[in-house]
Amino acid sequence: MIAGAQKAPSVKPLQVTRVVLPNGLVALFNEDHSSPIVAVGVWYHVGAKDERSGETGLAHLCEHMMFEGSPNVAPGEFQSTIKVGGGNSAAWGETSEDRTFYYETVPSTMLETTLWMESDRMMTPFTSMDTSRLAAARGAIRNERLQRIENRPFGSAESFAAYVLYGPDHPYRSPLAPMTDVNTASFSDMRRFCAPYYVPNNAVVALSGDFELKSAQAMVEKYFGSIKRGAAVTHPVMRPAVTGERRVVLEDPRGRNPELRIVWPGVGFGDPDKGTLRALASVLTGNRRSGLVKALVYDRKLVSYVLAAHFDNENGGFFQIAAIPQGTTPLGAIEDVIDSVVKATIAAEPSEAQLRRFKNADADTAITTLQARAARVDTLAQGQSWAGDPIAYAKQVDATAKLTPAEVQRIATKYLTSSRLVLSMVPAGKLDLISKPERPHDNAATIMPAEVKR
Amino acid sequence: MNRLTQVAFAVATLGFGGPAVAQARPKPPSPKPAPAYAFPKVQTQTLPNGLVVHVIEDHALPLVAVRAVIEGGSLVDPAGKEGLFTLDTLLLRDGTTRLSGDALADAISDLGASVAPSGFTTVTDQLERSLAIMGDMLMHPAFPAEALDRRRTGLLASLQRSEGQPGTPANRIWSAVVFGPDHPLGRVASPTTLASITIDDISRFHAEHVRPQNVTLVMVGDIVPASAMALAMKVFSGWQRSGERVVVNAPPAPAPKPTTIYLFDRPGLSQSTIYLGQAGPGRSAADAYALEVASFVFGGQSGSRLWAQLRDRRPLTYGITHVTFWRGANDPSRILGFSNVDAAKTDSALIVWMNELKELATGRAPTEQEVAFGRSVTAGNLAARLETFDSIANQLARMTSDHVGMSYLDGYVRGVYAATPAEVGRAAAHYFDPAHTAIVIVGDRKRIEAPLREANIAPVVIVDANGKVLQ
Repeated sequence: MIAGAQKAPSVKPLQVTRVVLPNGLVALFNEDHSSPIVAVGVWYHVGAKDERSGETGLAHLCEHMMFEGSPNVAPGEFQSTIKVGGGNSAAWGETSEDRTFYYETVPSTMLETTLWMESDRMMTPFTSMDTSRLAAARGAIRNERLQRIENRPFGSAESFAAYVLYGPDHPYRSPLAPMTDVNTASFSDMRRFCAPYYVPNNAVVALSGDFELKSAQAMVEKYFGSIKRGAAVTHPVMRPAVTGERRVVLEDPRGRNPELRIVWPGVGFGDPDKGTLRALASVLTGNRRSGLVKALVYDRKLVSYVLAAHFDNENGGFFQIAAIPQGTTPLGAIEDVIDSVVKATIAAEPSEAQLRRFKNADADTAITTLQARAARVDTLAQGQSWAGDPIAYAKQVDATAKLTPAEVQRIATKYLTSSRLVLSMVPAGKLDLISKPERPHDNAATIMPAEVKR
Repeated sequence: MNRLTQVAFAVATLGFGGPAVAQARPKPPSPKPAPAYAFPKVQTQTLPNGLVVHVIEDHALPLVAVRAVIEGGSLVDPAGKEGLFTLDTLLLRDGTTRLSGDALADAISDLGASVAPSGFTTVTDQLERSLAIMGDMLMHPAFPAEALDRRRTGLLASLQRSEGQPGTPANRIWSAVVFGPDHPLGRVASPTTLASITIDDISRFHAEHVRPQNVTLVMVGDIVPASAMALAMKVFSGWQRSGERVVVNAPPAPAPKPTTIYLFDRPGLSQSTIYLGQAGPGRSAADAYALEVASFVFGGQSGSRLWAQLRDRRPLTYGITHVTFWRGANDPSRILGFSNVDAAKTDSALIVWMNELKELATGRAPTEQEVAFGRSVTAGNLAARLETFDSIANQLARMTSDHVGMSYLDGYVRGVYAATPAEVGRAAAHYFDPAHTAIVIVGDRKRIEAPLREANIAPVVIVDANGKVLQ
């Protein structure tokens, strides 16, 4: 009844006009008149990886303080103006390891007001504020950390994996670091850290929606053009630091079931191997016939959940296989099966059909996820900021469409090496549940530095 | 204090010179009001077998979002077999009479989009093949017995994982307390109910209930309505109807109990999770729009009263929501607030929260300005919220399952803007009842029980994970 699809749907990149202002600000314009709304995104190239020892959590503190007022906008007025005007945002601001992104979707009649408010807080950032608001920001961040990390079973697993794979000097830390540095930073410490990054030459402004290019461009030039260029900004480059296998136990009193994660260093946003690593993940767990799902869920019934995925940051990444045992299956039995499937994946090319399915899904996702204008400004600004090309995403899909099975096998051989982290996550005190207890293990509690621990 | 002196004040306080002395920049002209929102035109047709098709045509993107709504959903689960509808929809993915489970999985993967029995979103040129697969799953399930064990195990594991999030027991206990064991909204799937479900239960349930006259198909995007109807006809016309379309409503909620704190002990939690509120009216209530506005004035995140009190002025939480969660036109809604608060400050957070609730009900009616805010964040931002084909298709599906009709949103916009501050105040006072509020707290009893009792907000009872009172 249903023939297999042979051809990947083509991805037509978003139409973008790029304007570079004399102060270095890059502005991106994606016109779309299908609805009378426009998304505004302002991307600052600063995140947790720019924090040195003693500065952990400050990039995220900058984000909170950006809502505490600017020369002509009172604390809280940014959001209330937009909300009362019929605008909306899923998060308003987000801080990751590599970037801080502010965004909102507003009626197109509010575009000028929104650009004016965004430019007001870029003009002289972190100056026109009541210093007592720092305490309020600390309080909000502490509650955010409690909610997202400390009160969540194994909430620190990601930061810990980054710490082991990328080393202690500049680990890809969690943007929601423990509160130590955020609590001790004074207002001027915060400003000293944040201000050098909040300059037009370290920012991208992206618009998507209902505007006329000429008039939107004039608004951006009018409101952002007079902002002074700052000193050039540099960022640390991350290099994987793991050599050989590290076996670590992460205990958590909130954990109810053991979990196993095997994590290898991956690659960053613009790396040509990224698409292939994602294809490799799909070959392992893309559907019920994929190697790991078939072996662990269907044939052996050892796990209730298994997922392989590649996560990319700006210049580093993680290839992770996560598994949750079914019933009382020992983690060691799961690790054995994972190892044998990985070995088989290295030994033989995947089928053309498996690869074709990944390519179809990759192209489909690129189209469906960019329905929302807020998602478009995020994607365009990311490409511009990290690869100098707003439509890098579409070029990555095109490159993926050309992958061969031999290339996937080559990448499996190159990346799924013995230099990896095997992380046994167990409820506190249940050390008998770890995978292969006979082998030497470190306990995360003893090797994690305070800035990763909770 | 005007803005200029405020700037000078800030600069003087911080002692920064140089660039900190900001230019007073003229504000841009006040924005013109946004155009009034109108929900896109819906074309409807009923196939001869009773299956209803709603289509919205929009060619802005080469995509189509499709949803299938099965009347009643989990509300139809018989008492004691909660989880039946969920298992049914999961097993539809495990093979049809034409395609084995493996072949079905590959056929879906070939498309690139993830086609589920409940819907999919696809590039236009894969629409027909995707719809054919979705139809095959709905009409010709194989229900292989081996799949039941696997699905049940998977569902149990995910229930168990979700149990680690304190919101899961809090929500379950709140529903059990407010709706009680005799109400379908008070019951949820559990290991016991899942264990009682057999493959025969599933296949009988599907054959009886999942019939074309109980199914509504929603298609939004790059398709001409006539082609959409023809396509639906091609895929679904062979499906035999059996009887009349059913309409499944939830019964009224039982009478509310006096305000009580239900504490479920989970040792070691650094935050307490609070679920707080009571049952409310259905969407068809005369004052439903006024209640909608009142809800957002009270607990609609940033800009609301609770946000100001528990996040802005005091750092008690990262976020708080307390609004009306509507179901069907005639089903009870849930007027429900939830937040994770610092465990050490559980009592003070609850005191502030309950004081605000009393103020809303008795002391401080919503002002003109608050009502304007409430309108903006409900009916005023629909263009920004219903932006994608996915969100519009989900909205159509929601209007279908809630029995409110396809012109609901236009009436909603009119009703929200017509609600006067006096009406909003009356609805707030009527429904947000501080004397009949179920307060569920999941937290570390050792740390929080004594201060909660001392605070004397309401009687404290200790409950188990299902809301049964222990002491």
